[in-house]
Amino acid sequence: MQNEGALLVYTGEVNPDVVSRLLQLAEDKLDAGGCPSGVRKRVFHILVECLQNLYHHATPLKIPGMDGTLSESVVQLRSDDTAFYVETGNYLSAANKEKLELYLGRINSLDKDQIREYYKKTMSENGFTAKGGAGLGFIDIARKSEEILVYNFIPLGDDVYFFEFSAKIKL
Amino acid sequence: MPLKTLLIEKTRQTPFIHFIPEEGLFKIGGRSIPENTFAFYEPVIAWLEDYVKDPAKVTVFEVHLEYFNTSSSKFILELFRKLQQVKNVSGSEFEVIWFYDKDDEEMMETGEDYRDLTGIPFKIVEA
Repeated sequence: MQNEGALLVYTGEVNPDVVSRLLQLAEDKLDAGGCPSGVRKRVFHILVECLQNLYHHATPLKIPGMDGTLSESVVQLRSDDTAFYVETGNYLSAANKEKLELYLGRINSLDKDQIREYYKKTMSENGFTAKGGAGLGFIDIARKSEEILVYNFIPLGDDVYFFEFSAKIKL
Repeated sequence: MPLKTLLIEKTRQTPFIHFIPEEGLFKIGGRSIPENTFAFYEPVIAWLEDYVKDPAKVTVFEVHLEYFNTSSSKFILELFRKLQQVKNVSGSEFEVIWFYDKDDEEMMETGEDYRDLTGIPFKIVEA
């Protein structure tokens, strides 16, 4: 994860207190940067969903033969001349990697109108997930980003991956 | 006992709610981005449960939301579906007025999506 142009970087556990502090900091940075309100809103939306994804889904992983658990996540907001980027990293198990990979691949295969329909259908038909989410986070991120979602799963051992994710919001 | 007015002040993460049952006026606005949306919306939906049994003749739901997260979006759909039940009481009418900022086209589209999903008469108005 490159961090040139970083406005905000956080490494650690993501809990509700961290979510609200990071959102507050991000808003202050975005306000001070004088970016157009449409872009500002989209960046903020995507950051909210990314942080809530980490809070709800980044479960501590116990590694056989290793002390403690892997529970740290990474969150970064950065910008360059053309765009903002909301980027995250977290550990996940092989089973969750398979599910997420299919889901993100499906989202990336849809165009703007199809994403809007997929959002409506999921909101209207599905219940809440076991973690209390609506199952809509990445669909909404794709909708607000209007760009292909960039992600990578880095294998770290038998059953552990590091998931890197980047959403781009063009200026 | 008549249903009491429901007033919830807004916070940085949760919206304001002003529900005045005798006037049939319901307003929600601000931002809705709590981690635990269930804790915020369940009591509101429980309150509406009582309202729809004996609603005002005309019920108007004004939505002035600035931001909401995806889990709130499902609860907002639930608010519409619940309020729609006033139609079960004969002669009752229900309409939604959805406000959006003029530079926020997505909020306008979101209003259209809810209108399509619920079939409720929706006015979508630039604030």
